[in-house]
Amino acid sequence: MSSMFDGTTIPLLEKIALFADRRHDALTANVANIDTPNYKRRDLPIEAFQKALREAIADGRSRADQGVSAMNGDWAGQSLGGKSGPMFPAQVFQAIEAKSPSLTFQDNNNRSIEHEMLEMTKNSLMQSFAIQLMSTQFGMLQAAIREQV
Amino acid sequence: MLSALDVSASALIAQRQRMNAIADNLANLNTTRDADGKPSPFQRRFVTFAAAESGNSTDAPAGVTYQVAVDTSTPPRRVFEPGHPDADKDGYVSYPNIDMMTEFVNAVEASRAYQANLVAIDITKQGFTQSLKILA
Amino acid sequence: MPSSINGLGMPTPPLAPPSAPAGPASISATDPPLFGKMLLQSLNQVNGLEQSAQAAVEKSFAGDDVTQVEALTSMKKADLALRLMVQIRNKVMDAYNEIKQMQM
Repeated sequence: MSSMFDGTTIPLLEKIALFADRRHDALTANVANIDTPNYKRRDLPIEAFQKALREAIADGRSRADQGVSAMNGDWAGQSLGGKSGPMFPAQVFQAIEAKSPSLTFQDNNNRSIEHEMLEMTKNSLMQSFAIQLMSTQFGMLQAAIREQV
Repeated sequence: MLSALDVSASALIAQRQRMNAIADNLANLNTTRDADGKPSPFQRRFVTFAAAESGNSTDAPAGVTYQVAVDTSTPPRRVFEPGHPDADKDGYVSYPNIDMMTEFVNAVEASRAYQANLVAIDITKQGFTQSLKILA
Repeated sequence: MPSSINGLGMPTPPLAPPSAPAGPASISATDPPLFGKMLLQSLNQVNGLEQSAQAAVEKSFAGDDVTQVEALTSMKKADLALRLMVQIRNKVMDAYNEIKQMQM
């Protein structure tokens, strides 16, 4: 029954929205600690996530090229959703200490408020983009199921 | 996709550094000793901007980078104060080569540029959220 | 084709249908119904639009050179095409049911 989502981009968008959500938490923690001595900036590993994303997309495409129908089985569920397959390890969604473009100040804090607000804005825009696309896809599935537009 | 935000943010960071340099100059308007306590007038700091190199393609806009530089060419202000502990053998004290009016004008300019870039960020955000109406 | 009755009172077999003139509006007995062909084409188009929407979304999140406006418009086109298809299907089903219930 869950394989009806495999032909859509819903599993991909789910992962992106989840990542954006976790990242928002990390960035708000950075802003809250803007004056804390000895605090170092934390973030989610973006490069690792992008890499996992590209791998999952390429994996999906290669399976489609081999003639496996998009609605067959849950191979997409394996790499992108559901049972959280090998390509999206749980570490990708956990905050770690990240590098900062700013220098370290006297109180051993590497703050840059503009950088944090910029990343937060980009993150939130990405999340609303992904969620809107996802809800459109859900609407399409609903229209097909209800036989009613 | 959202490179316009990166560009504006680089400008915000650069203008803030400029304000930091100006605040530094104004705080040290009359500083005659350096951090080690030796009589050496504070040298004026200023920030130079340069267009940033884009990583991928050569004509994609990439924002601005800044360099903090020390103004070593302007000579220090020499004032005749024989009783001053930092006076040299002729009785002159070397004060920093900082002009308050210049610093104020630069501060106003930096603040205006900061505001302008904030508005640019706002417009970019609005454009993005407006485009979501395509799906409505 | 109504059978004609010759002078003997015996029905003659119906005449062969006239040969189809060239033109898109013509229907000959040997061709499949053009409406069916049109439906198949629309189905393919809807599928094609969905595939390109999916590709656009994947590319825009993988960092390739697809702006958000492109991804959004291709998704919306696929959405509308699907909904139009569903409506056409509903109308066809209604027409079929109506014909089925016609008293012969």
